[in-house]
Amino acid sequence: MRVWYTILVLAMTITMPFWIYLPLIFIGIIMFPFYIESVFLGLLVDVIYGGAIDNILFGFPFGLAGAVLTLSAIPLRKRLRFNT
Amino acid sequence: MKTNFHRRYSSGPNQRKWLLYAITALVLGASMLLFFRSTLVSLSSPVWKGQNFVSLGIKNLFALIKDKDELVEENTVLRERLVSYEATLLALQTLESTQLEMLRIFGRSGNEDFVAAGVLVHPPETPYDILIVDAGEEDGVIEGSMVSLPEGGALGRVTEVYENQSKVELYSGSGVETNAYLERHNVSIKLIGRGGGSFELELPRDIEIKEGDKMLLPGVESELVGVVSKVMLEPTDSTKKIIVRGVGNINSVRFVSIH
Repeated sequence: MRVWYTILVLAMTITMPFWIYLPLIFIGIIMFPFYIESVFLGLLVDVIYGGAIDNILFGFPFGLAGAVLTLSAIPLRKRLRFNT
Repeated sequence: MKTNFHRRYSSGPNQRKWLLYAITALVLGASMLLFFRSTLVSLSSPVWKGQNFVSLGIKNLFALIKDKDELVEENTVLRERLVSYEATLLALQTLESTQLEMLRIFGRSGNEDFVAAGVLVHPPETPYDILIVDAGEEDGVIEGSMVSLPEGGALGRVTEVYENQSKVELYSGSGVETNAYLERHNVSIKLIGRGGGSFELELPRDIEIKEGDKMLLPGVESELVGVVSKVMLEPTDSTKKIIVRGVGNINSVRFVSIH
């Protein structure tokens, strides 16, 4: 399920408007435990569609957001008891 | 009475492990994807071309099955508009030849060499104000070249050049600063991109500015970069905020010229 979802989002990243694939990445973070794929998907968006990268730290806003949200989702998911 | 409290999620060994994983993924992923950046764009290019082809085909199909009366009405409106545009074009051609003649007298030639390119990706496929076009190094595109609409109007600059594709950063990109001047008073201004094909700027309240005023790029070409779409002024403000709409619709641009 997780792999298929990632492949679907990956395909959408190339073909669909951002207001479809960005929420899908976010939904993946909520749906799957420690969805580290979101970091790669975010980085892919930054690398393919982003401009010239001047600052290595802030040059990948979506990759960074993916990492921060994935980490933030860990305690949140536990509190929401998705797994029980 | 014994009360059980939930354990708080402090930064235990697990959390540190996840943090380490996330940082590693970020660093490794960023360096790997950056290294294969050109390959990724080249690999995606056929998909984008196919997608543009299909969406154009669907548009044409819908145009074919349009209601006949609607088509006749649209045709009449378009004919009227065409007559008006032809008159404008004639006037502009005269102006253009005058401008070229003046440039020739001053020993400057107009930008006649350009590379025509098709747009592969434009917003909203990309969350940034970026275009990916199907002309690259092999077609003679160089970094820093200016990108305009075929009918005129500056869009942005080439920031990255691949073998057969290039990436164009639009002047309207969020936070991008562009020097321009206000045609009405020849006042130098700095346009600040807001994303979505628009800009903003602030001017002292004494400078007269109206909706429809043009913003031009500095230089002999003086390409149009935007048109004032809204002027916001509060009675207590010493400056007025101006919203400028960029040329063309970046969400539907299909061709550009690079020079």
